[in-house]
Amino acid sequence: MIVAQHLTKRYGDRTAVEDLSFTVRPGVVTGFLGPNGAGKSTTLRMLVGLDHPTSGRITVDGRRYTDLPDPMRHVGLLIDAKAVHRGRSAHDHLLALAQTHNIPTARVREVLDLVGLGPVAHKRAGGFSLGMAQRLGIAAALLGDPQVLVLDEPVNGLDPDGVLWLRRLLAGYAARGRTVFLSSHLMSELSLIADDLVVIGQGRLLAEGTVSDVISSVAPESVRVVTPEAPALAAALQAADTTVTLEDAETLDVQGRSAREIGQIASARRIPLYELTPRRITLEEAFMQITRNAVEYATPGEALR
Amino acid sequence: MTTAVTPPATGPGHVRITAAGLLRSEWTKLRSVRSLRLTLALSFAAVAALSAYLLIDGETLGDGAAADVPFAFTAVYPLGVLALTVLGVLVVTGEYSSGTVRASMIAAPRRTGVLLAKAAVLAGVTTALGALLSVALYVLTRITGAVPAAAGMSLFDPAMSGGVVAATLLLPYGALFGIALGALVRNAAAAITLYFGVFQLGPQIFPVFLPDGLTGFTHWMPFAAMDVVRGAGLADGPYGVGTAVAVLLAWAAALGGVSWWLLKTRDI
Repeated sequence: MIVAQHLTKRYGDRTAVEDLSFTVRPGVVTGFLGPNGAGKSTTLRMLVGLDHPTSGRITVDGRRYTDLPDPMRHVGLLIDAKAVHRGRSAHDHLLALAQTHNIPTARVREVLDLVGLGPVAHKRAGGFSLGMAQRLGIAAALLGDPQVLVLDEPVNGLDPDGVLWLRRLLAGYAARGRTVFLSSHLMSELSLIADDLVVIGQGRLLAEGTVSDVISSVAPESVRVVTPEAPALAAALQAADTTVTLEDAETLDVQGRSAREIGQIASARRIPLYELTPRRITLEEAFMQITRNAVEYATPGEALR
Repeated sequence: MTTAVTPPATGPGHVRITAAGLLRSEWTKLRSVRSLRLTLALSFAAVAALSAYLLIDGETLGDGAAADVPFAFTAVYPLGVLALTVLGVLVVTGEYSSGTVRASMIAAPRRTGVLLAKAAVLAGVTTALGALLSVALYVLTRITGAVPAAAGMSLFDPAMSGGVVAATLLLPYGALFGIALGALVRNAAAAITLYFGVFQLGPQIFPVFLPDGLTGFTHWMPFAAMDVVRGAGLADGPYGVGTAVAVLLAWAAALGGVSWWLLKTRDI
C-alpha cells in the first residue's frame, strides 16, 4: 500500500508536484497516468527517497521508504532501465544490489532466468538493447520479492512477447495480494491491465478511482438504440434518472439505463429493436478529456505566464 | 492491510541492509568493472616497476641525500598516490555517469552506508596491496643493496618502519581523497581537474595571487603535509610528522564531511 499525503516538490520556483494525495491499494494493478512533465517520475523518485519532498510525505505500508530496514523487500522499482554501469555484467549488477540486503546469490540467477536474461547474464550490460536493459531493470525490481512493485514506463522497448510476459507477470503479482503501481503513456496497454487509476497533471491530482469510475466521471456510459418506433421507446424510457436523446428518426442515445433494462422495457411494449449497443469512451479519450485543461505546455496562455 | 500476503520467496528475516552486506556489495562493484580493476592494477604495477628499476639500476638511490634514508625505496610512491586518487574519483563518478547510483541509493536509501562501504573497501584493498608492495620492495632492496642506509636493517627497525608505514598508508589516503573529491563534484573530469588544479598545481600558483602574509597557507595543503609524513622526521619540514598527520586527517575529514553532507541532502 502506497499513501501520498499533501506531497509537494519544488525545484527553485518550478513546482513539479503540488499537494498530491492518493492511495494505491494492494491486490490490484494501479495505473499512474499523466502527460509529460506532470510529475509522475518525480513522485516515484520521492517514493524511494531519491528526491526529498519539499513538504508532505509518501509512505509504503505506513513508513517512509528511507526508514525501512529492508527497503528492497517492500518496494521494487524500475525507474531508469539504463542505470547500469556499461562495463558490468547483468549478473554482477544484480549481485551488488542483492548483497546490500544479504539476498542469496541463487535469487540473482532466479530473477535473471525469470526475465529471460539467463543466457546473457555474464555479458557486459553496455551491449544490451533497450528491451534487454528494460528486462534487467525489471529483474532488479523483483530481486527482493517486494510487496510493492513500481514500474515507470515498463513496456518501453519490449517486443510483443515481452509485453505479454510483463502483463501476465503484473497480473500474477497483483493476484497474490501485492501492490502494483505502473506508469505508462500507452493507454491501450494500461486499460488492459489496470484496475485502478491515479491521474495527475501539472503535479496535481486530476482523478482517482477504478478505471470505470474514472471513465464514467468524464462521460457516463450510454446505450445506442436503433428502433423504428424511436419516439414511443423514448416515451417509455422517460424517468427522473434517465436522459434520452433522439439522434435521428430511428436512433436514440440513452444514459442512465443499461442495455439489459432497455431491452426488457422494449420487449414489454412489443417495440422491435434493430440495434442495442452500450457505448463507453475509451480510457484514452477519458484521459484526453481529463488532462485537456492540465497539459503543461498546451495553451499559449500557459506559456506566457 | 486485509489482503492475505504470501511470504517472500527470498524467505528468512536476515534479508535486510547490513554493514557486511554493503561491504560485499561495494567489493562486487569494484571487482566487476574492468576499467576499475585495470586502474588499480596499473597504479601498483607502475610503482613496482619504476621502484624495481631504480633498485636494480642503483644509481639514483645509492648516492646523494637518498643514500642516508633507509626507506628510500618508497621514493616513487607519490606516483601511486596520484594514480589511486584518480581511481577513487572513478569509483564514485562512474556510478553517477552510468546512473548506477540511482540503483545503489534505491537499494540503500540512507546513502551514508554506501559511501562508507565504498571508502572502506577501496582503503582495505589499497592498504593490502600497498603492504605487499612495500615488503616486496624491501626484499629487493636487501638483495640489490641499492640503498646503503638500509643495509642489514630489519623492516621493523624504527628507523625503517616509520617511513615505510607512512609511505604505504599514503596510498589508501590518496584513494580516499579521490572518493571524497568524486562524491563532492560527482563528475570525473571536474574532480580530476579540481585535484590537479587546486591540490597539485595550487601550491605553485596560489602564492602569485595571495598577499605575502598568506603564502604560508600552501604549507598546510595535503601535498606539503604528505612530503613531511614521507620524510618520517628525517627531512626538514615546516612542522613535525604528528602535525602533518593531523593536517592530512583534517583535509580528509573536511572533504569527506562535506561530500557526505551533500550526499545526504541533495537529490540523486
